Amino acid sequence: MIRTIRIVSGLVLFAFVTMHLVNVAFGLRSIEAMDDARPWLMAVWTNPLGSIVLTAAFLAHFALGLVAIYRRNTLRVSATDGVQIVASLVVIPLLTPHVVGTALAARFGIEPSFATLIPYFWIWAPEEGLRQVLLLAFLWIHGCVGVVTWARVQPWWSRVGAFLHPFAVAIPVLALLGFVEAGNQAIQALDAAPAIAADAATPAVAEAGSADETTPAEPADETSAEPQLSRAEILAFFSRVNWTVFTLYLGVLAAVLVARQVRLAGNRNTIRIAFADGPSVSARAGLSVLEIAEQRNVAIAHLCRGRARCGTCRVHLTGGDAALPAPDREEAQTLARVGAAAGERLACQLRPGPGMLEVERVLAPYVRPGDLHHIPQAVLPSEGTVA
Amino acid sequence: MMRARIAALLLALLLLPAAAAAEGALQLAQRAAAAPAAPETTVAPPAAADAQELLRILGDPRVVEWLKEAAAASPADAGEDGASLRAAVEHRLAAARQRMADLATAWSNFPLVPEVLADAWRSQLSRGDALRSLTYVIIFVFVGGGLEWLFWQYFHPTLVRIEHTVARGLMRQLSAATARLFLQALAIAVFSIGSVGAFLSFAWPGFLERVVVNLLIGVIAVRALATLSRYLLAPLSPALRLVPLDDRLAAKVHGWNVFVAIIFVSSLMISDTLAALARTSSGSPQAQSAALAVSVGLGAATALAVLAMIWSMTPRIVREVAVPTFSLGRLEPVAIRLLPVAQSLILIVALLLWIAGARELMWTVLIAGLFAPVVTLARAMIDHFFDRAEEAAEAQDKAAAADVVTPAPDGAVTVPSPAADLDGGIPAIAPAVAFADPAAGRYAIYRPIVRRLVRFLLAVATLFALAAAWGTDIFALAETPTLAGRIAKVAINVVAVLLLADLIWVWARTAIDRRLAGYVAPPPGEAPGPEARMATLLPLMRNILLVTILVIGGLTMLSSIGVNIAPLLAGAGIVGVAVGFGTQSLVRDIVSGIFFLVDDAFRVGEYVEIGDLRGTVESMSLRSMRVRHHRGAVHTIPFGELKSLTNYSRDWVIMKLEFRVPFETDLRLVKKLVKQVGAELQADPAYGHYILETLKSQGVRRMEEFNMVVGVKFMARPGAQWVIRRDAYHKLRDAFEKNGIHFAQRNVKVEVLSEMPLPEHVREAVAGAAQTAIEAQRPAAPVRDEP
Repeated sequence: MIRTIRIVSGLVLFAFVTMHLVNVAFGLRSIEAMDDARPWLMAVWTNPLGSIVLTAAFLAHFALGLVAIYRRNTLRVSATDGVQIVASLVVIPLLTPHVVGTALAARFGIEPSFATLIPYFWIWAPEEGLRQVLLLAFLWIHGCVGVVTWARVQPWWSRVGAFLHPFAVAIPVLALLGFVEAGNQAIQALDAAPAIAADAATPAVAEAGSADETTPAEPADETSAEPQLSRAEILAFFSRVNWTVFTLYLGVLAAVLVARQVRLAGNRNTIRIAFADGPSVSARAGLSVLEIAEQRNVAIAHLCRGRARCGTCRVHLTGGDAALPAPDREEAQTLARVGAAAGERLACQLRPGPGMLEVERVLAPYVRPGDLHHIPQAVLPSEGTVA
Repeated sequence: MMRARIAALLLALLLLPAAAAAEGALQLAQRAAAAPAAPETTVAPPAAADAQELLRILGDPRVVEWLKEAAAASPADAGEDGASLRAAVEHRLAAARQRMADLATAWSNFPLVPEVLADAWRSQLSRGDALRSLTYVIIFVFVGGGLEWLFWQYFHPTLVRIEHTVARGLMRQLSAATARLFLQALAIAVFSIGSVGAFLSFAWPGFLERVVVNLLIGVIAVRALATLSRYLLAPLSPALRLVPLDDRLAAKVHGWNVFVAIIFVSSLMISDTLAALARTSSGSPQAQSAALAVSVGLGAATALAVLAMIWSMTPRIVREVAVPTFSLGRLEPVAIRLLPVAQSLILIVALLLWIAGARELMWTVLIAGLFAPVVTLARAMIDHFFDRAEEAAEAQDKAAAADVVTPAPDGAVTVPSPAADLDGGIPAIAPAVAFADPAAGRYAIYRPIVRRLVRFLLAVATLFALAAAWGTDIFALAETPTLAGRIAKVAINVVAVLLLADLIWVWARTAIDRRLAGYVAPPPGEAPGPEARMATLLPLMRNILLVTILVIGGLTMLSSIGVNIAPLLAGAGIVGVAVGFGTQSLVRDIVSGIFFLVDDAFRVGEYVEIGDLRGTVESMSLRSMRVRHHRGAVHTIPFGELKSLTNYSRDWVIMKLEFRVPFETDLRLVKKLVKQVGAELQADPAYGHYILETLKSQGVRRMEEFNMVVGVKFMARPGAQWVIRRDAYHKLRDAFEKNGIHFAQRNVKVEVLSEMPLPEHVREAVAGAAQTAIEAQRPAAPVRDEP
């Protein structure tokens, strides 16, 4: 259930980001083109229903992310998971000033547009432009890792995956290049007519400002009460809200980490796992077999990155005295779907108790997503050639 | 100890390409720093159109003519060499003085450096511009990274497959490591194209472009160096590692390599950027000296990082993988302890020279200092490779032997019967025995050759590097008619000849020494085997080869120096022809002896027949062999006289016996008796094991006037056939006797047509007459002479 909510909310957010980036990519043509394309591309999200869906998806995804961090047993994660977590943690402070900047600026009676924002990002507040680029990078990486991890074990992926990969690169690259080109145009326009540009820039600074990522409902009454604030006052107000949100965010994150630490405190047992055709490693009990293997550099295939979706990480238990929790519903479903033999478990879900365990990897670590659906399970590359 | 230097020499490997790649940048930086001394370097390069124009003018024949005339009319350039040398020295000294003055200025202005640089920076790049350039860098790194990610989406499974498939054998390991390097290099290339390419496809203001491109190139350079280091060290996949280090140490060395690479590359990039900043229109002398100060500081920082690496890794490697290859005895601990000191000294001297602006000297010190560690590393790697190859060969041999020993799966015979054992046993064991020996040293001959070759190539590469450091092209120099050109040309020829001669000599010596090392002198009183002759021949051949190589090499060198060797050759040829005619048969004897030996036609102790001479081989000399007839005579036969040679002592012999029995003999009984005797013979403890196929009857071979000829035969190992034949006859006779079979005897019936009994003397007379008649009919056949 949690898994479904996470991926659905993530897909909603990813769709939004994708459309926004496609919009930015129009900057390769001109700033006007960006603004012309905006109503067409963003209409889905600017109507009330779209806004509600988007907000709900964001909140759900955020909350589930915190839950996931709380439930992690180790913070020594694989490179991909590390990128995923760090990117998600960094996104919030980067996003804070931007997300509802448009929404909040609208409360002050200013319609945000590329024509005003691009010069703001490139000329008047380049640090904000930098922030945008970093935001895009982290957001897109987080989104792509999540979506690809989910999608590549789906049956349809082997048909369309190879065609979707170029899009995953093309969209942000074009958006960034569009951003650069639009910025260059803005700078040239400024060089050509500095006075006019400066005049035009004054309101731009005011309206672009910074923004708040909390729900727009909260500051709504304030803004409606004071529609005629001066530019400095608006900026100061934005900055205050930003810092508040940032502090709150840090507080929540710290609370989650502390709670996780409390949950794990006192666990001093160790588990020893002997891999057939591989090393024998020991680690703190409570980690999943996959996590232990990754920490000790033992290769195990895990196409869905430990989400119990693909079943490629399954291991055959050949002995040992460690206590084995029964498989939960998701694991049991996946095991049944891939036709696992008796005595096989998913390494990503199996968290053995203290003791000793002997396992044997069922699939070679270099199994490809395509192998999951096209080839009968029996002829998957076997363990034989693997160190 | 061999591995002790690996840290330093990995460093060398790390630095060399980096240095080569960055040399241009460094040069730029230094020229910029020394701008007052060489103001012409600030002139912008000509536009493409100008270059075209220049080419057009130069292509004009009139201009060429005029230039030639001008050149001819100019004063003779006899003193050119000396003058230019003096000028060069003066120029260098002036440059050094200028450099010292610059350094002094930079040092005195050192506290102002941040301020000056910040001013210059601000004048070139506002805060907004700086932030924007950072934005650009991130964007273009993202673009490159995105393309690389796309690349890996398609090739990552291949990489994982390479890394997780255990490579068996040297070639597989090498090709796997290289394939991995290739994939990673391709990824970096994609990244570079994505980042730098995308950046350069836009138009940028000058200095901003410099900054961003420098940053991007820095990222790419660090990644390339890290990939190279990963290629050698493979910290995570021991199967692909090319140096003999364990996992932990490899990871540490790799970490240091990456760290030093980051420091080095970022220093270069920062220096270059600041130099470019100082060179721009706003570049004041203060800014230039500030840039110089910063670049000196960064150079010192790089040197410090390398020093830290040396002191952290060298003792550790020495301690953990100490392999005794030095035979310094008591001095060895001292040498090990002094190693990091020596490396540090070289580094520090190089740093000081660089600061002083003596680039050529710096490179000289660095290259010379790196030569020893690089040679040691190459040696370690070669040994590592050969060890791996031999391991693989051994494993393969074991597998092959296992295959031979286990019965073939398709064969119906799983329990070997005695017959099958006899038939199959000998050929089955033979290959296993043949394999067991060379497994240990199949590659041993090539190890010293490869070592030599690599050392030589490294020396040549060092020479070229030195020449490049001093701005000389050796090959171009060799084409010039000056004295230096002549010397260079001769040196190239001589070096090539020396290399070839050395390689041939090392190969031959290794091969011969290996054969000799395998020779074990026979215990006293036993006849020497064929190897004994080899043992006398091989040193001779080695000396002949040495002399030949020396003579040919010497002649080639003389001719390349310019000495006319034709008279030498002619003289040697005449003498050679004379001596050759004189010793023709001697040479033929020796050479054909070698070939008989190679053919393994005979060995000491074997019974041979040469033409009409027979006997046991008693001894062999360089020229002839000695054969003793079984009746004691000794034949001495020069090898050159041997046309063909029959050897009776090889593998097996078949003996055919026959005897005559009367027509009325029961042949079945004979067959049975022969079989019985055969079994008895086989059971004999003295010679039973010599019998390969025991006695068996071949039935009646032919019919004669008064009897049948029954044939029997047996197969035995050479040497025992006579004894077996003797006993076979003996036992057959006894058995026949016991069973009432008599051998046919020649008898003559004389029919006397008379009823009367003959008196005694008449009978004798008749018998005598008949005897004479028979003997006249059949002359006695000569008895075959056998030992």
